[in-house]
Amino acid sequence: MKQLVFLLFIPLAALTQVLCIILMYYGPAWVYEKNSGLFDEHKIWIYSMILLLFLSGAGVVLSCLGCYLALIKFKRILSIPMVVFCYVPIWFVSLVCLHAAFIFSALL
Amino acid sequence: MKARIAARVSIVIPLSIYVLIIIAVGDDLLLLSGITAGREERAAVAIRDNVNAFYKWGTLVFTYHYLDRHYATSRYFTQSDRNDCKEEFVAALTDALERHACVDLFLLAHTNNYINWVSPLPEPLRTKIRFVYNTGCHNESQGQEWLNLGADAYIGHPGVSQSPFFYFYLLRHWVRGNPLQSIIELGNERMIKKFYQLERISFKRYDADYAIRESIASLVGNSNLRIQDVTQ
Repeated sequence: MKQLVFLLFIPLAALTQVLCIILMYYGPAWVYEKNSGLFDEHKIWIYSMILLLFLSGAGVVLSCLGCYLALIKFKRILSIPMVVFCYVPIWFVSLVCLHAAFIFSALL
Repeated sequence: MKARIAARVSIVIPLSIYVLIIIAVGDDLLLLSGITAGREERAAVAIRDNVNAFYKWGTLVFTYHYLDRHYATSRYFTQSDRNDCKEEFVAALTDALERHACVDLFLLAHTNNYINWVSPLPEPLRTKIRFVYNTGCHNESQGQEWLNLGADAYIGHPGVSQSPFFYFYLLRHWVRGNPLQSIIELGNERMIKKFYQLERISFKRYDADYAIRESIASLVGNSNLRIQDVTQ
């Protein structure tokens, strides 16, 4: 039962990315519909960056931790498919978002 | 698995994925590049037309910080309908032209006629307009009109363009201080590469040659212009 706690990293890491995608797609619709006319571009940019960096960073950290724990706690027959089918897609999405945040911030 | 190997695997895999993402994006990394000289001399005004909220947001988050960081004054407008923001845009442009030696315009909109908003401005102000980038479809032909109005250089696209690909490279290399001629060559080359990649990924359902014909950017005016140049 205790080992199953480590499985929680998968839905947690996935949740950060699902949230990130939902906010990126539906957040702007909410902002632009609620405030027709002139917008505070600075605020939109700042909040977008905070959310992107936080959620993508959380996704990367949680999936790294989850992958590490899966590899040391479970047998390879279970841990390798977990890494390939669960953590690799989460890494991909969260790293794309993280890279986007770096580009938008002119850091990279 | 041993803890040390597990830790290495948990770091190496995401790092490898990140390297692949950087390669896929296909642009050089700026790596905290500094601000080019003469920031206080220049201003920028950008405008986005009324598209869906996700596109409005995407254009804003990409553009906003580059302009804010590399120009003494930068204003960004997002329209809610076709004539929205006209007064604010013209007022911001006039103010920027009065207070700075040169002003760049980023017209991030589908086929547009913002030139009609700018043409009534007094000539001494209009001649301070330096560089105009227009993402609009079929707006390549406005180039000579912008030059006649006083701009030093203009970049536009000939047809139903997929200009965001080009704009991504243009803005990043423009703020780095590269001359327009090299930016247009690099931007077009990398945009074409992306079109062919899309064609391969979509199993030829995406027509890269058509996209290239419609989107390839062209430049009129001063091809050696750089962001740090002060023109009159």
